[in-house]
Amino acid sequence: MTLRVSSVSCYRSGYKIIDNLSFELKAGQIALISGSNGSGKTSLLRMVAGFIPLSFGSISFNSKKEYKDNFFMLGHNLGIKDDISPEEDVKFWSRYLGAGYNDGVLERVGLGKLKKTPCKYLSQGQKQRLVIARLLSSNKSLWLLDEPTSSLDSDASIFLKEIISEHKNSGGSILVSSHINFLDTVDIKINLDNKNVLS
Amino acid sequence: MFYLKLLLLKELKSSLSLKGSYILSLAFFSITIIILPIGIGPDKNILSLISPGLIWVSLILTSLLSLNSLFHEDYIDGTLDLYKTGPLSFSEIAFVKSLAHWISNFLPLLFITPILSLLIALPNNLLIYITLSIIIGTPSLSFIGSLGSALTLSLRHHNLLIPLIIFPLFIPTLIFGSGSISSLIFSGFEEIFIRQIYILTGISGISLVICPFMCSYILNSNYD
Repeated sequence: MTLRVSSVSCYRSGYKIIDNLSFELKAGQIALISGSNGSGKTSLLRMVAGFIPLSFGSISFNSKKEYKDNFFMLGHNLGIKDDISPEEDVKFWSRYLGAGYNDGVLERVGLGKLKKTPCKYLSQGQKQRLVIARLLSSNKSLWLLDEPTSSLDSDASIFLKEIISEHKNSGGSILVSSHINFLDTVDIKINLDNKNVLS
Repeated sequence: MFYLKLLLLKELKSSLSLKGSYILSLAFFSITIIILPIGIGPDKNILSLISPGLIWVSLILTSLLSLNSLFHEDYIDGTLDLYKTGPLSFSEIAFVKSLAHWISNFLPLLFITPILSLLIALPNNLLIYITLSIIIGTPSLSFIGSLGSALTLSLRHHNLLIPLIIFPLFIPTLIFGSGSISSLIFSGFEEIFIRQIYILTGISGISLVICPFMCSYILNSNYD
């Protein structure tokens, strides 16, 4: 189970954002993408997710170019509809993404008391917790996390750190972008400012 | 099939909620039909002369209200990203969303059309035919309209562009939709009506099959 990014370059509106980047993320590894604003962290994650086309290079997961069944992407836009409840949201996405609904997942992320409340009444941090509940229900081996701690309080950030290590220990892979290093152990560090990949 | 049904139920639940677009569609369609007799006057001959065209022009304008948000809202809030990582392809997603648009925006109009037709002097005995032409013709508005919505996916000021892009594509539906009702009112020939209904069926059938694939191509090219 390996995510292989080979000589990838990305141009956006004529500007080169990512230049000739290569790395391999194996099962049970965490890669942290860091860099200043506009350095291409989100673009790299969206390229891995297949949302934006590669200008050059190739990306494969287990030697397959089509791997959309194997990852879950937590992006900036959370895809939460105002009128549905967290319970309905997690139920739908866990079924749609091919996993069963786990009854205790909302309690686990601290939304147990709010599971019937329409999502429009949730704070940004609570919405982020809801997406973490989707992540836990998705049952995917590769997690793509784009600034996952941006709206989380310290307790939720610690919880996220715990579930990331659980996923790593169970053989999953995590590609996470963050401007701060909130993780204790990282296997690969990708700095997009100075184009460094350190294992 | 399970995922198609799951997505259709989600889309219907959201569009048939209290804040759903169907209320706006019902209100807009009713207002368009109601204000015309007020503006033109109560002359039944004039009203019945323009009523078939009025019904179909109102249906087209009504469809535009909700087509704006068919893909754009999901694209902006990140839902389309999540759909893309699931088991359904963009053509299947476009098919389900267009179908949900038709069910939630056009089927409710059938309930108020009999009342509104009284205001524009449509003969009561033709109501069943009018309903038939609406049921058969309006799927093409949702499916062809989805192309405009897909083409303007990532544009901020897309509301005015969609009508410009898709109005020309609605012309065949408008001609045969209003033509089918006119043929009954003015010539009284069911045979001509049936021919026009066949053509409307053809337009809807073709758009139902082709538009989701075209949408998929457009969405993939526009995705950024």
